[in-house]
Amino acid sequence: MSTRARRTQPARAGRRDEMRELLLGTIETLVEQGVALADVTVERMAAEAGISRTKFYAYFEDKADLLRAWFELFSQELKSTTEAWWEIDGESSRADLRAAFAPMVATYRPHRTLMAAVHDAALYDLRIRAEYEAFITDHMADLRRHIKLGQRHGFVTADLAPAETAMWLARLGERMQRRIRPDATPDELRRHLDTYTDLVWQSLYADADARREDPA
Amino acid sequence: MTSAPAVSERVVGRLLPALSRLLAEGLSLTEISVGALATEAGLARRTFYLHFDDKLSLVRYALPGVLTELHTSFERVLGLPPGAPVADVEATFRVMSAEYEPHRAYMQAVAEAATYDRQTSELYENALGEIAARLEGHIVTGQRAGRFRPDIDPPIMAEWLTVLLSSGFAGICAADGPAARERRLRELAKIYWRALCVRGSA
Repeated sequence: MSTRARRTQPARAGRRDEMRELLLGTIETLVEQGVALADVTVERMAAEAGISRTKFYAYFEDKADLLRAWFELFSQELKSTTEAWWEIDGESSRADLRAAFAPMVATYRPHRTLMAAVHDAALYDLRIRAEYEAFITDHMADLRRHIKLGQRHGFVTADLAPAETAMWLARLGERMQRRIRPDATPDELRRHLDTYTDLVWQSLYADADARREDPA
Repeated sequence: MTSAPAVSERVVGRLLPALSRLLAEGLSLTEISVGALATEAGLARRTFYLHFDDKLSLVRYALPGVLTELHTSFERVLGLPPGAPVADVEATFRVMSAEYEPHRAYMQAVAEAATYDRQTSELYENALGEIAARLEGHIVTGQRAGRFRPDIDPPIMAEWLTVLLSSGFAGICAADGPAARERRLRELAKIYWRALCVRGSA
C-alpha cells in the first residue's frame, strides 16, 4: 500500500462516517415532517442535506447502502442491550426482567424511524434483508440458548420447545418495537414495557419447576 | 368501476390466484410486472388495464374482502371460553392457520404495499385495530369471570396478542413441512394461553 493510500483511506472513511450521519439526519427530519419513507429519494436527501447527488453517490451506492452502513453499527449496539436478559436466572424476579428489558426499549426508541426505514428497505434490497434476518436470527439463537439453559436449571418452563418459543417471542418484541407509535406518551411506553415483561414472564418463567415450589 | 362488477369479479378471480402463484415463487410485489401477471392469469395486458390502473389498485380492490374473511376466522379465538385448556386453543389455531393459508401470499403483498401506500396501510391497520378491540373485550370478560389473570393490562395485552396472532399464522404457514408447522402452532398456543389464563383454571 502506498503512503498516499495509507494517508487518504482513513480520512475517506472518516468522511464517509460524517456523510452517513448527515444523511441519516435528513431521513429522520423528512420522515418526521410527514414524508413517506418510500418518497425519501436520494435526490430529496441530497437536497435536504445541501449536497449534490454526485456527492451522495461518491460515498453510497443508494439509499439501502446508506441504511445498511448504519444498521451494521446499530445492530451491534442493540445486541449489547439484550445481554442483561441472559443474566436472568432462578434468583431473578419479574422486576429484574423488566429492568433487563428497559435498555432495549430506551436504545431502540430514538432510532425508531431509521429502523422502520431498514425494515422497509429489507423488502426490496436483498443485502439489507440478509443483514436484518441475520440480526433477528442471532437474537433468536441467544434466546433459544437462554431457554435451554434455564430448562436445565429449572428456572424456565420445562414443556417449551426452545427454538419455536424463541422465534415467537423474539419476533414479537422486534415487531412491537417498530409498531409503538412515535408519539407514544411515557405512560404508554411504560405499559408496553410492563406488558412485554408480563408476556415473557408468564411464558418462560412463571410455570418453571423452580418457581412452583417457592410461591413468594 | 361500479358499472361492470360481474366482469371485474371474473377478471379478479383470475388475477388474484395468479398474483398469489407469482408471490409464492418468491417474487416481491415490486418485481412482478403487469405483463407477467396478466400472462400468468391467461389475460391480455389490455384486459388488466381495463379494470385496474396498476398492481396496487388490484391489491387494494381485494383487500376489504380478504380482511373480512380473516376477521371472521379470528372470531374463533373469541369463541373460546376464557380458561379453556391449551389443547382447545391449539385446535382453534389449527383451524385458523388452515383458513389463513390461501391468503398467505396475498397478505405478504399487502404488507409490502402497506410500506408505501397509505390507503393499504390504513385498511390493514384499521382491521388490526378492530381485532384488538374485540380481544380487549374478551380479556376483560375473562378477568371478570376469574379465568384470566387480573394483572393483565387489557388494551395493551390485546394489542400485543393481535400482533402475535396476525404474524403468527403467516409464520406457521411459512414453516418447512407439517411437523415444523405443528411445533410452531403448539408453542404459539402455549404463549397465548399462558399470557392470559389463571393457572389451574384448565
